[in-house]
Amino acid sequence: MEIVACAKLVYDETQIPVEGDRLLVDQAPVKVSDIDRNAIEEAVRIKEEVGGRVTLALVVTGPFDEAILKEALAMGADRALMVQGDEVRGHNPYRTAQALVKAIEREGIRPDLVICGEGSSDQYSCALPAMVAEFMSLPVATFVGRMELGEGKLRVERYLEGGYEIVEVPLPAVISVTSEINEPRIPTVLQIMRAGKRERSVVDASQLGLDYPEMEEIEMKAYVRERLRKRIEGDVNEAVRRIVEVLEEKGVIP
Amino acid sequence: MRILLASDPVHLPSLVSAARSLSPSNLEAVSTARAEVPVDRLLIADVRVNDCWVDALTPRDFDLLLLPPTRDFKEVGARLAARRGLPYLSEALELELDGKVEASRMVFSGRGVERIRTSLPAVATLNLDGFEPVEGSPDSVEELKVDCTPRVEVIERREREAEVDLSKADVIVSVGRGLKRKEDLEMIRELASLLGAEVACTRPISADLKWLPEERHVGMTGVRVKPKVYLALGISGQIQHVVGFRDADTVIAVNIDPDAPISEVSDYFVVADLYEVVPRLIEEIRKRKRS
Ligand SMILES: Cc1cc2nc3c(=O)[nH]c(=O)nc-3n(C[C@H](O)[C@H](O)[C@H](O)COP(=O)(O)OP(=O)(O)OC[C@H]3O[C@@H](n4cnc5c(N)ncnc54)[C@H](O)[C@@H]3O)c2cc1C
Ligand SMILES: Nc1ncnc2c1ncn2[C@@H]1O[C@H](COP(=O)(O)O)[C@@H](O)[C@H]1O
Repeated sequence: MEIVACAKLVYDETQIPVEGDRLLVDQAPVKVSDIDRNAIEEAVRIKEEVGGRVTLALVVTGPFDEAILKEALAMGADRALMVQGDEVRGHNPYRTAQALVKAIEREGIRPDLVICGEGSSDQYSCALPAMVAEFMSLPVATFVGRMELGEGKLRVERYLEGGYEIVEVPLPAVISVTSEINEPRIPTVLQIMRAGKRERSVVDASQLGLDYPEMEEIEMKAYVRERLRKRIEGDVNEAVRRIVEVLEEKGVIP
Repeated sequence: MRILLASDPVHLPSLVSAARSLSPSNLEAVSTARAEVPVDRLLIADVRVNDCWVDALTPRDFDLLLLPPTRDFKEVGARLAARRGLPYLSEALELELDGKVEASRMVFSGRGVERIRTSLPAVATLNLDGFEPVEGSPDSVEELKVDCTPRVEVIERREREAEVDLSKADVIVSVGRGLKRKEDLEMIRELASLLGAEVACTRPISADLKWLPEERHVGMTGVRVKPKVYLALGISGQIQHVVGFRDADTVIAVNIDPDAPISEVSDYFVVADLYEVVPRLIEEIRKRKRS
């Protein structure tokens, strides 16, 4: 199986310092977008089951950190395919998807399966997998929480708001997975060290002939809601009494 | 400004309400069933899978196509935009039109709000919080024939009737992984019923453990709630959960860990074991109700 796992590097949103209404985004550490670790894990598991090759594909739309890329590769990917350059920086899912697809084609990769995360930790637009599928003219199943590989097809369970949907998708196909699909492995130090030697293709975005609708980012603000932040510690009975007081005050209990 | 809507019949009335606030010159909607909504034209299409939704919308004309922010329609919207070469805005919070389209979106799991601007025609899924569903009758109703051979095959669909709409709840008792066993939900339910509250949870409780149905999970991928009181029991306060209760008036959190991140986003942060707090709280409230 020729498998492409899409992974985005992002600023860790749980560690972004806030100053007034400003998010000091670039002071946060870089991580692999959360659910993309599930995507890589799933790709590696399939490879381990049926053989093949896993390409980790990423478009550098935001931060990049060599150590983090190595860690992602160390989960078991065989090589990395990276698109970088000013042209692909910033939020424009259409452009990102196109860059990814053009880079895959340029490398001569003909994937049987492209696996993405359901949505990225920073943008969560849940757009890229669907767009990649369209650009590659492949069928797609999004929000996959379980999957089973069959003869030339996948049987997947899609996790939707109002229930589940079990669908069969012929291969080649694109899927996006949810975090329930597996438990991503944590690579060992040795695996991470070895990952530095994996094959890597770096594509300059300006060579891809991208053509896309523009999207302009006008501003970004922190979304903060002030809270009282009163701390109640110590005796449990006293704490319960305080909770009851608050509930009374809010008119929840008489 | 010609606005086209594509929706299931459930979300359509709120979507129409959102679209009308943009004063379209023409408002058309495609739905899978008839709905009583004030649009210029309602097209009823027998589409059951995303593949056919995309095919149904591909030839249609619009300046702005709006869809509900469900998982299915996020796929449909993104695919249609890619197929047509149009910009796509995912889960827009607010839209402004002035020859172009400007939208705000939540980013970094809700820690930030971003404004973006792009050209028309465009496709957007729209956050429908705060739009009251409107009723009315369509000026005309037509059937839309869709010629489509889906590439994915639906084997089975398990739809659950939703038990509850948490976004309307006044008081919410919410549990996270601090709850040790499914049986312990009993005491949570008891407390909730004493408070006239709904029970809610974090995503691991519904998605991984399946102790509660999906529509009771609060957060980025779940419901956004705005109760008078949100009582968070055994919840760490990861940002993806926090965005879901940010509009609550008062947040009370009970957590055994004095450094749990939820301390930063609650009005009252009680450092205690929920297994000690909940039974006493039940007893105390009962006592008050008796007297
Ligand atoms: C893309 C994405 C989307 C997500 N969307 C959502 C979402 O919409 N909603 C959501 O909830 N999560 C979501 N998550 C998951 C989220 O990141 C957290 O993993 C989750 O909210 C944590 O749930 P929790 O607080 O129940 O569990 P934990 O983080 O494990 O916290 C359990 C807490 O219980 C406390 N505790 C333990 N024992 C006791 C006790 N006896 N008494 C009191 N306290 C106790 C612990 O101190 C701890 O703080 C999402 C994640 C991703 C990556
Ligand atoms: N810049 C990127 N490089 C590689 N993969 C990406 C990139 N952006 C998004 N993806 C993939 O697409 C999924 C959905 O992202 P998004 O559409 O941004 O929510 C992510 O989980 C990734 O698997």
